[in-house]
Amino acid sequence: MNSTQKKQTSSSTTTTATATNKCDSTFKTFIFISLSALLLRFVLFYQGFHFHFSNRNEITTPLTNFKRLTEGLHLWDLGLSPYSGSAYHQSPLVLLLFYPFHSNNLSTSLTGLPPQVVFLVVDILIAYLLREITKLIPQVLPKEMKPLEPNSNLPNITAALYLFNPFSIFTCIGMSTIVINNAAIILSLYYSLKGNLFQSVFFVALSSYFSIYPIILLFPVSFILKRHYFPEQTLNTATRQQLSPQQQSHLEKQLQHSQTTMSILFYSRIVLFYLLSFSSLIYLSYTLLGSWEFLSKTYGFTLFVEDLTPNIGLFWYYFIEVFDHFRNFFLFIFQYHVFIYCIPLAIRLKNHPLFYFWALCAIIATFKSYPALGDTALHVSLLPLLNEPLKGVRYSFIVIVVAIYVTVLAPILWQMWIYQGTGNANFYYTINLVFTLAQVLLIVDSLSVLLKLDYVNKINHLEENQEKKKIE
Amino acid sequence: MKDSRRIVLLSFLGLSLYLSGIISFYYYPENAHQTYLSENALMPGSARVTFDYQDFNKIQEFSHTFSKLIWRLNHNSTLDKSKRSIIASEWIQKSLNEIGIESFIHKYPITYRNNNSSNSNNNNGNNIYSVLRAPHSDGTESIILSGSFNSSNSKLLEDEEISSVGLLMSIMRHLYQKGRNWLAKDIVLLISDTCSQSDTDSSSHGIRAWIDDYHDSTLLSSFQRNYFPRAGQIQAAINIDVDKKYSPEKIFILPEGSNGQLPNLDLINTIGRLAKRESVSDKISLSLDDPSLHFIPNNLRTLAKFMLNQASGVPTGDHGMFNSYHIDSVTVAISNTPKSALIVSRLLVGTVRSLNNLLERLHQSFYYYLLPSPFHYVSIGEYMISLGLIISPLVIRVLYLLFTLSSTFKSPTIFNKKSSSSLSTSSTSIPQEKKRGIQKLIVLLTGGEMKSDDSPRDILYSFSIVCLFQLIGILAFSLPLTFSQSTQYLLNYLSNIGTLSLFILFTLLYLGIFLIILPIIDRLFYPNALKATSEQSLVLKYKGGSSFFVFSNLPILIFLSTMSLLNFSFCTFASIFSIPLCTFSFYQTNIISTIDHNGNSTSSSTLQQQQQQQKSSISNSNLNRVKRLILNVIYILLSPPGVIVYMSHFVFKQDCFAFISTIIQQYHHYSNLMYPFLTLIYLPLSLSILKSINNSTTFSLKQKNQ
Repeated sequence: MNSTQKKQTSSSTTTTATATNKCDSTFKTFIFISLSALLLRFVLFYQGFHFHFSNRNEITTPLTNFKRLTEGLHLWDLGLSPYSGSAYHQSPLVLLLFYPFHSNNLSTSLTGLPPQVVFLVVDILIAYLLREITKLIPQVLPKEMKPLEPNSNLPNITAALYLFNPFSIFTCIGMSTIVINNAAIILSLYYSLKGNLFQSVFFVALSSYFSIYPIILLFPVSFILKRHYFPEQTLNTATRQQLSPQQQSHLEKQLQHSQTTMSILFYSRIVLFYLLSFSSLIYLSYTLLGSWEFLSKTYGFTLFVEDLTPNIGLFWYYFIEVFDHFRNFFLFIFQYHVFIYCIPLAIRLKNHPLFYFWALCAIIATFKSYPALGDTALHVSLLPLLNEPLKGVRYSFIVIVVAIYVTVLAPILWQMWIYQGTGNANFYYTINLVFTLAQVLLIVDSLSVLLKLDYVNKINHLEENQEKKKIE
Repeated sequence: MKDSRRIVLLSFLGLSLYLSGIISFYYYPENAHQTYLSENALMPGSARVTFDYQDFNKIQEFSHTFSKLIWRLNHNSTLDKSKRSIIASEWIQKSLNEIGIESFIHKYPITYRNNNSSNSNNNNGNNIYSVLRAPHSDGTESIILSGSFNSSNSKLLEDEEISSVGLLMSIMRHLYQKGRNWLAKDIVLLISDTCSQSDTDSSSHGIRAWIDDYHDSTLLSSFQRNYFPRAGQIQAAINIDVDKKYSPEKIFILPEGSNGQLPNLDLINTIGRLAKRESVSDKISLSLDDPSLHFIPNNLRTLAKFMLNQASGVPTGDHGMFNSYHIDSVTVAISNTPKSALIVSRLLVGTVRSLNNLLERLHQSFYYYLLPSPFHYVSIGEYMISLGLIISPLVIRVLYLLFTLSSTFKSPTIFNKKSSSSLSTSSTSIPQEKKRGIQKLIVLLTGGEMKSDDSPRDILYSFSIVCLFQLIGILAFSLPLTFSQSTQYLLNYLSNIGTLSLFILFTLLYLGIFLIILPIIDRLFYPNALKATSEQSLVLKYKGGSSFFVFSNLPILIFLSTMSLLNFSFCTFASIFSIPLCTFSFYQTNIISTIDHNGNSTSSSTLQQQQQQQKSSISNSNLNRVKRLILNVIYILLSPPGVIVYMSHFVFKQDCFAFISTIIQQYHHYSNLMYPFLTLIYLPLSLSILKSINNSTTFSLKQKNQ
């Protein structure tokens, strides 16, 4: 087609060639990292920390609690609906995933393994995927990251930052099933960077099947996929010189026209795939349980915020306080608030799909109805992928310090409120607000840096062009 | 020069803030507010207390009979401890039943929360408890009156005039006979036998076991043979302690609970108001008098004692056991003289009547206060300022460095040289406004003047070292907790060897860290620095200073500022002790480095000057080495083993290993902060201070070699 694509392919072949040589040493370090992370988690499980952590409301929510999952499994095992009672609110397929690890009094589990294994495996999977994603980004999105040196440590650092992030350790030890949701999100990013349209859309569907919110990730995923299907086509100078101006404009118009129709087809294909896979997942759950009850018990529960147990989010306090006749209105506002950001950001961040992906993850983690530290762990672990544009973030240390303070203060204030009775709900909610503020500060700050960077690059580009013209 | 002047200024400012924070405590007693009752429902003293001499005679009667019984039991050699306890408990149960109050014996295993003692099956402790059902209630709320006795106390006289058992029984009898027409909450009487406890244990395991079982909702709780009637939610608890050690002139109100937790101020106020009504308000006192400290003004002494009690985290009475279940509780303590017994009984009956009026839990008044006297308080809004002042030198320093560190990670693409150079030339055709905008942008992005010397590699290096130290701290914290049995064994074994073994252990740890682990990490991060002693790499190596300072001091700052919500006094004492250490270590190393840098910077001047400079720098470095030696000695003396030895010998007067095991046990029982602070915070801190001093030492030595 043209030279740019050739260049891309050639560069990719060279990187792969060198990668195979140097792959072993970095892969060894990755294995070392993941083994030490496994050891750490194993020790924490052995010491029985999961009994403490799985009951902490910062780590698990009604939607991700393992105790509730066990209850659902037990009910299912007895032949009842897992949703009878009000304990279980997770998607039906989660039952299927954990069924082999469920053991009741009469029989041990099918695989004979404790359920903790799932969490360990999923964590390692996420770390591995993050490592692969870091390698893929320079090839697919050259703007976001410079091409890596063959022996670069960045992929391993990304993996290690996920594995040793305290939030993800808490989430893993707390046996919060949010990690499965996170794995689906990371998988969709991975496949979209690889250019596999169906897989990536399927995993978006899967993650939105687990919890509704990731549906908005369809936008960034399709933007990334578009890079594969529509590589940037510009007329190179050689052909431009041969054509007359009229011909040039004509050709460009033609190209554009074909592109718009093609992209409409492309997007409709994505939407179709999404609907197909989502509805098939829903139908699969229907066949599994034999009733549509799960729709209201999972999605209705998420959207209408029926459980007001305190968590690190904004919903619980507000909906305890609000008068009943305003409840529906504010429910609409709060939920609308999560979803609406995808549109303005899509317009502004067309050219930075990876950043867009991260920003949406962070927004979901901040504003969703039952957030936990697992959501924060996901978007924090995506940050090293954006290290190029985000180097100039001004409040990074402030955000980190605030995050540490909040993680220390929240249990203390909880203790004061619930156990000692010397505090009250306002104390705990204040800390939630501070935490939300820190996350929002992170999003806003990095967005502003990215836009500044864009602006400076644009001006640099302009100047270069002008200088070139002068030389000519 | 400017830098060093700024440092002197900052250190002066820090020192003055720190001192003013400490001095501010002196002004608290004078400026304390008068306490006031917030809860209207309490209405203390609005009803006449009908407890009179007839009831008082009952106290004496019960006490006499009971002490006679105990005396008899202790002089009968055929009875063992548990028999004695059972007989005494059954006597109390019988006499309470005779009065007409349902009462029960609660048995609990003595090994309860006591890991080291060997358990045998019939080793039970006994609690006697009875419930006085209020006729006007639905049985959902209750008030506890508690006390304890020791059935194996052979020192007890045959004719004890007043005992807490007699006092409590008489109050219950009074409430049963005369209070039934006004009682709206169930009254629970809880008497615990402390015979199984060693002398060092200040508080009762029996009460703890009872309160745990009371709130235990599982059917298979530890002791199923107990019939366990309950009396609804416990709203307040008053513990009574009668002992010879208290001065006979006074009535003591002891509010400090486990980990310094306090009851609602209204509870203390109620007792205070009632005492005023009985015109004995001058007898009310908050802490035991120490005759050796009479040169300190009275209120200040009370305040200091109050804070010390809070800081130690050990409850001053058995009421501390109720804290973990969200029950406001206080201990009222008197000596065993008849006169104070009558007053205290009247106060208690009045308090019970006031608490009986409550519509909801005590919640109106303060939970966070300091008491310089029973009728004056300092609220959290005031005393937090002092803590803020004390830690401010460190906070200022760390915040300043944090802001500078934030500017380390700059995006190189923003500062494209081309753009800035073309900006300066006027020939560019970019509109003027845009240019100004870009300049503003650059100023904004660089964050003004604040720049730090640390490269990202330095930051990573210091971060990983601090993480390593912190990990050691976490290990020191969690290992004894998970392997409590073997830790106990090890501590016993070591205490036979002596104090020296503690120092040997810590020296081994320090040597291992500083001679083996740290050089490995150094080599990982700075492979060039050790091979070639080039000036640049050395300077680079030293430059991690500011980020190292930030990371090593963040944990203690976070600990002090957050834990002060749980135990303000402990954090105040800890910060008075440790803040100078942290801050001083930094200024010291920094001053050394500035001197060294001066030596470097003027090297491009004339030869003569250079020689002079060299001479001075050599003499400087010699002086510095001596200084550093002294510093090292000071910091090693102030490191955890040193602190443990001082505290065990001078404060607790114990063997240092016994001290360690007591603080671990106290952490188990009262969750007080001593043990976590020493292991999680102080150990890593002292390690990193030592590291920062020695880091600059190697640097200057190498420079001298050049």
